[in-house]
Amino acid sequence: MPLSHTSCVRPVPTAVGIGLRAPHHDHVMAQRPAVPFFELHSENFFAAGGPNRELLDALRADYPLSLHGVGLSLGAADALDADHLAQLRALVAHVEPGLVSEHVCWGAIDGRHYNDLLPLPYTEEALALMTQRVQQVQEMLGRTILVENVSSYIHFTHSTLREWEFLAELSRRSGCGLLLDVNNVYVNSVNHGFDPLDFLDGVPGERVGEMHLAGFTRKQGLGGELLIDSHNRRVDDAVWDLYVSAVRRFGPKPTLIEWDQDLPDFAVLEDEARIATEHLYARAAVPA
Amino acid sequence: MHAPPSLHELQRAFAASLIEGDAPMLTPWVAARGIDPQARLRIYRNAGYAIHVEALEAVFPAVRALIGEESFDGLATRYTARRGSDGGNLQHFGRDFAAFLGAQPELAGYAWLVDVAQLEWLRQEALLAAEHPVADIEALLRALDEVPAERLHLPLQPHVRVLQAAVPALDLWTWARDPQGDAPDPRGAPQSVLLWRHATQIVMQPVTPDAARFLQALREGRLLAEALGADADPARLPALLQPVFEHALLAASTVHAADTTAPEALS
Repeated sequence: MPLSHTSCVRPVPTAVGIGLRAPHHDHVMAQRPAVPFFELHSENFFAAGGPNRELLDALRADYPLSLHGVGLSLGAADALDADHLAQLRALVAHVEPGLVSEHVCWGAIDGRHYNDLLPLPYTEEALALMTQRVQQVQEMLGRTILVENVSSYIHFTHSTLREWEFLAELSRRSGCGLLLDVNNVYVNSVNHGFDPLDFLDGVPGERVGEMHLAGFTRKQGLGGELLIDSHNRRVDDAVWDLYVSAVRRFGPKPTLIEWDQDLPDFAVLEDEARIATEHLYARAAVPA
Repeated sequence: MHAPPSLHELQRAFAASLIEGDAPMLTPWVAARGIDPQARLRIYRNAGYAIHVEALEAVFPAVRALIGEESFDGLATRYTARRGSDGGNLQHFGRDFAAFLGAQPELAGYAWLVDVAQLEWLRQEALLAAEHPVADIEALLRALDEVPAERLHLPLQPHVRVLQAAVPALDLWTWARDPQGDAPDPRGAPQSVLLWRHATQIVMQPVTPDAARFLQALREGRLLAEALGADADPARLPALLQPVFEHALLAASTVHAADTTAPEALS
């Protein structure tokens, strides 16, 4: 299966989009800003009616869209939630988005959901389960998905693979693409003590279908350095540098500015997108 | 050291740490790197509670305003710990928050909060529900003439909700959202409320207790005769249906006689 859906209404362009959140809905509907694409959290648009459905239909008429799930709990030892998956399928059929993505994580066990992106051990058992789950989702949706590396504050000592090895092998076995969250790579490199460039070197660039950028905060008072993937501030300089390295390695990819907490004016997100666009196209002009 | 946990064992232990804050089986398998593994796990625990409390705050702003932020956050945290979320979509978290509030000893003197919380949950349900094509009024009137009430279903739009409250729930909600003048007396006359979605807004209208019972019965899919009740005066039907007609709350495709194998075409 191709990385993007070939019959979709609007493919996501190789440009810098913005993650659209509720406080900016009215602004976007009124102003129709020149944003190359928007990414939406899938679950917020599961409802068959209401204001979000109206927004969705208006957006898809004017913008390429990417659907980004946060609640499927792909890596849970339990079976996937059939109802959740059916709702995702219905949404994808309705929107025909350029990209569909989820996370390499788990969020539910024994019927209880924690609605968070919880870390997996990078073991063969987890890899086999994730591979089966991603294949199940792709078969259900009739298309490939991208899976995103998550930020984490825990590394399990019985992991037998590095995070990037896990992602590369998951992509190889399942055929899925990768959503490379550059901020998460940097956050994890600090939290778990690895060179972020090793991560980039270990990722199959041809499988990267999208990149994410966001801001982090530093957690104080724990006795060691820990970064929190807070999505509440501008992209850090170190992450910009890593993004440049990623574009050099992988070439230009659709890129997204994410901001989920303490949302600023939409203009701030547009300014972050402008900076990312400069990096994206500057690197695109550099011969390989 | 023992054998590493299976994925299921690890996730169960992790889940226990999220709820109870204790993970003796898990911590040996968490790399410290200068930070206590329990402190690392607490980041997830704190974030998890914050996510769920914020979700409840978004759905129950009037309850929060009425009991205060501190009390609300405490109750929301307790609810999260005890009930948890049963789905990956947070929009449905809080389904039984009203009943939970009603069972808390410290709220024994605030029983009226339950109805306000239930009103807020019904608003959330109405916001997320589907919308069907609206019934044709002439077809509906013809059906009322031609099909016996014992065989007629009049299904409402999926976004219609009915609250049969024991307190002035709508007045309390309205005051909580915009506190002008004196607060309503919770011991005041009970209010039943009809809710529906118009465009992107939720509309709430007080209705009589009779109308509320009737409309709730229609919502539950009862036949018209059942909704009216055995001792109901058929002459009251126009009054009971008045808000349904006025606000186009009947769904077209599903107006049908009960004993046909397929919905009866009434247009």
